[in-house]
Amino acid sequence: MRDARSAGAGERRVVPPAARRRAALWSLAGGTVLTAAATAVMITGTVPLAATGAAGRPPAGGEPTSTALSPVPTADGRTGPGPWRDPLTTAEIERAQQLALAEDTDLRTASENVERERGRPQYLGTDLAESPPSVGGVWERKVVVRFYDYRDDTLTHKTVDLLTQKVESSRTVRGVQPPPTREEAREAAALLLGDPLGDGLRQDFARATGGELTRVEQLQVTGWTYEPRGIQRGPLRACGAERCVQVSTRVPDGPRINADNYVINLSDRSVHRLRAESGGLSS
Amino acid sequence: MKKVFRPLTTAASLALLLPSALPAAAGAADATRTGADARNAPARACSPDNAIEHTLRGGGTWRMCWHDTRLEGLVLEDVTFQPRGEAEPIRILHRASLAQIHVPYDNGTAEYSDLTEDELGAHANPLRPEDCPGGALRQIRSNLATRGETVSGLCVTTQERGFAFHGDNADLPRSVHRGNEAQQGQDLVVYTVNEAGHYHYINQWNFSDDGTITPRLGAAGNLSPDDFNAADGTGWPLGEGARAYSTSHHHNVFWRLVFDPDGTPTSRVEQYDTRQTGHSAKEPRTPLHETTRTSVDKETGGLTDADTQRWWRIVSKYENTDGHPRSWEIVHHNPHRYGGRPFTEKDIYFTEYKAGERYASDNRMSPELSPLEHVGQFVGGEKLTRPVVWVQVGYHHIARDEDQAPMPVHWQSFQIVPRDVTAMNALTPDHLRLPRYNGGGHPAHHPPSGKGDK
Repeated sequence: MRDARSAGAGERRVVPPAARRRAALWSLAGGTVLTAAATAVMITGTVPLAATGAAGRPPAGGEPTSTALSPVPTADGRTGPGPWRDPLTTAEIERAQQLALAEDTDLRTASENVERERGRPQYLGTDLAESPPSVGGVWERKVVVRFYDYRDDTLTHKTVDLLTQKVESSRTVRGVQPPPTREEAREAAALLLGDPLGDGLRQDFARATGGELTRVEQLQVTGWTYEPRGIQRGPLRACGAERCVQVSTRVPDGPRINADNYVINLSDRSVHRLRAESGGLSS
Repeated sequence: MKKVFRPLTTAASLALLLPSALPAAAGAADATRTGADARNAPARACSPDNAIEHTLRGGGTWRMCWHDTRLEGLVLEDVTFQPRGEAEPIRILHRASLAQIHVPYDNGTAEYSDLTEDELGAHANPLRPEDCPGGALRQIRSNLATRGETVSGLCVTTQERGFAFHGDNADLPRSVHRGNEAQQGQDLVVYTVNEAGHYHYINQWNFSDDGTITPRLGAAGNLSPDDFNAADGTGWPLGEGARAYSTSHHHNVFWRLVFDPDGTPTSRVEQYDTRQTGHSAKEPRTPLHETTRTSVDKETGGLTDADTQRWWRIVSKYENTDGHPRSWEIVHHNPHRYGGRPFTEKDIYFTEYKAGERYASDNRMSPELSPLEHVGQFVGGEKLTRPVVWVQVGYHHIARDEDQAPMPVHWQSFQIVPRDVTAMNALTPDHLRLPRYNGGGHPAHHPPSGKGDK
């Protein structure tokens, strides 16, 4: 697959000094323990590692978590960050984000998340990578860390080896829209609420609860991406290249409130009504 | 019904106490592992806390590791079965998971890819103890978590499966045993319930005491209220009269199986076809059938119902004690094949292993994977040395009144059945495990042609 960034498809903005300072401040505010590998990157790089800059969501429970994972030899002589094919721990996921951003100055300093905060790429999640089959059963512990950059609508997946603590590969593409995270779905609902097209949602909420819907926090929100099918004209034709989502909302522990007639373009933060016949909820 | 669940309960409670179990502790526990798998078999792929290990009533032990990914959900790895009396666990699968749930609606208004578009795996539902009868719940990462990042969403339990066998000992060759031999079968069962829109999918894997694996996907939840609009003849009227039409749709489910038979990923694939070849010379009205074997040497896609009875097996480099190659047969039928997309054209695909070929469709959604879009494109004529098996089971859902509120579960499944893995079956009682009952004495039994030189 063509790497959109290396091919020069994404035009880079010059990073203003203010943004760099912000990244540095976040690094301090994060208060995260850094291991030797990450520190080395800090020394060689000119921009400090934004420890929590990638986090679209805070660490679990908001508690301070040590993300230092020193290689520990196991009983059978393997070394590395813990059991090889166990589910990822929160510490490993946070560490993988740090490692992924440590070597990518551009993503770390100039990218933007769904709230358009500079130097904070939108974090989309981390998965344990597949370990290829091999005679003798050698298992790897690599992860894929995923980011979306709203500045230039690019998706970046970085493969990080948790054993060597190195980024093994990085791929950046355009025109691929994974499902929105909870943060992105919530932002989409907030944009809908802030738009005249959100009147229906407000009325339905009032009918269901008797109360007034003023903040997105009053809703449980899930979202999915919208991509036009077939030839499209009009304002939604950019969806696909840009990040458009639909949302389903419900009153916490209460009824669903239908909002899937609307498409929210998170890239240009616009709200659109969908033609009735092309809507529909998942499955 | 006796259930031995010590290892599972221990693991689950440990996992609850130590959400990020320390590597050192895991290593220490590894060292205490005894028995066959500590002697020769490769080191287990996961810590005891996260392993799934259970000895079923019939004496066989299943072992596997699990983790979750945001798209696939439950991923099972390092799957082994150790039949009672076998010195070593027998490796079967390196990795097994769902590979797509493709849901196209008949009227063309919608077409969903529930793994890649909805991140099905990231939406595991919390389960209650009564949703996991007799078993133990484990924590799994989920976007639906309301506190922390996990839900008690992985159930590991056992289920009864009825008769494992029922036979008259007097029918055995040169039998010295009398009376009926009968046993109830039991499965180790592992499942999560993941949601995509209004659907709840039960992603279930049954591991039977006879060595059979049954991946099953149960479609539950509720019919999509937004799809009661098929007034164009593509739906079925639900409720009183014919005002609301539920749109008919397919659920095309794909599983991806990375086999590792006997710990040697370099395995072979064989195709067997049984067809009528004519009639008996002695009895001209008696049809005769012949079974032929074809070696599947290159990447290919296959149909389960093309004029013949057709099946495939994955063949290990190793033989059982009878001198027959160990193999696992894919028992599979695709009742509702959807012809609308190139990746749904075949019921089964065999491809050479590539880590970048993960999803049956929409593969490009993960940039680190192959830029090829779907499994139909993965079939490129390459020589098969480390075969990956992609199994498709389709279901055309024409809703009925009974599918309402909530919708009863509909299952789609296939089986991976041992063929010549052991000299006799894993449940054969000890008193019948005698050379006199292993082969011979059945002159009427015709082996498939070509079996002699396999």
